[in-house]
Amino acid sequence: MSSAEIEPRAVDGRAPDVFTRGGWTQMREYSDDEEVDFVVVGTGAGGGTLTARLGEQGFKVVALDAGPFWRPLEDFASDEKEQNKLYWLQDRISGGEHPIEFGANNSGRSVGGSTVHFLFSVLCLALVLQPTLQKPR
Amino acid sequence: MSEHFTTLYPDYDVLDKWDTPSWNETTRSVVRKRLDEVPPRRFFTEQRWLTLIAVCNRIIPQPDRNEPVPIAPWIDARLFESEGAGPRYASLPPEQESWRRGMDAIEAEAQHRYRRPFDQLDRVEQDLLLRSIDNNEVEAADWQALPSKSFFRHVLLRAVVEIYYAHPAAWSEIGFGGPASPRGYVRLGANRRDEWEGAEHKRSSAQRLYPK
Repeated sequence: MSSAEIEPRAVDGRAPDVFTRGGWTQMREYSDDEEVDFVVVGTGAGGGTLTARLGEQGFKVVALDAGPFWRPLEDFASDEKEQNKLYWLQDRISGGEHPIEFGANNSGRSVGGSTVHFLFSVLCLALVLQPTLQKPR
Repeated sequence: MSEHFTTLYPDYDVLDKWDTPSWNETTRSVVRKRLDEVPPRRFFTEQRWLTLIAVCNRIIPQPDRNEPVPIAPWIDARLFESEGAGPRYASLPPEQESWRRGMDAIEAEAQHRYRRPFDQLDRVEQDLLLRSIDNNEVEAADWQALPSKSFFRHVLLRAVVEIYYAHPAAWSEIGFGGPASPRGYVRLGANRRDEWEGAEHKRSSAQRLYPK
């Protein structure tokens, strides 16, 4: 099990550098009692991009994600079954008169959201604060 | 459900590439664990476990293998660890409950029809029963709490196939290359092949699935 699954990685003013093994990159971090301009929930294609753009404009932004902050080079095996760890596997219901069959693995649960599955890489977010929502599995 | 699978790749073993640039250490450690650390039964009761093994043996018979690919232990592990399966139809209970009810209902159907446990039926009886389940032609009262076809296709088959084809022995028999990283494949055009790909033995023309 990767350390990313055990405890939050993006703490103490730094976030994993997704392009190197064991690497770090600077991350702006705010203390729990500091007021910020925006809180973005989810760091997928939408939330991650929004967080970056708001940060670039000088706003104070905190982004939350329930999933681990992976370093693909060290955390990812080239193996379909192992990559189940990227997916959002909690119960989701398809109901109604004409229930649709969803793909089993089309939603991600990681910093980077579903883009981690689709791109096999994590968006490089300079301003992500990984919360304590993250639980070991 | 034929008993024998004729591989087109009799000389190919994906693990022969283990120490080559096709594999890296991260992938090796994941697959090594899969090969060496088959989990014990922790989720299913003994009766449900016997039923599950018998069902797996009919869905993917492995009579030619000295060491069959383990399927039931990984289903058990996934349910024990509450890994989850993501989306499901509203008509199906949550995953763990689906499996409990499903194994009980298969057993109940066997008792209803044959007065014997499912795992003690012969292959023909087992196949007939599984076909009935897949056709929603079931009579045991247990199915009132579980749509049989939905369970069979969306829960049971999906898991069995996913687990079977996560095993290198299954990769080898279908000529699957295994890890796509770090080396991957570069000769992608028709009739081109990287030397680290499996090469299939051509079927004779009489065995072709599709005419030329």
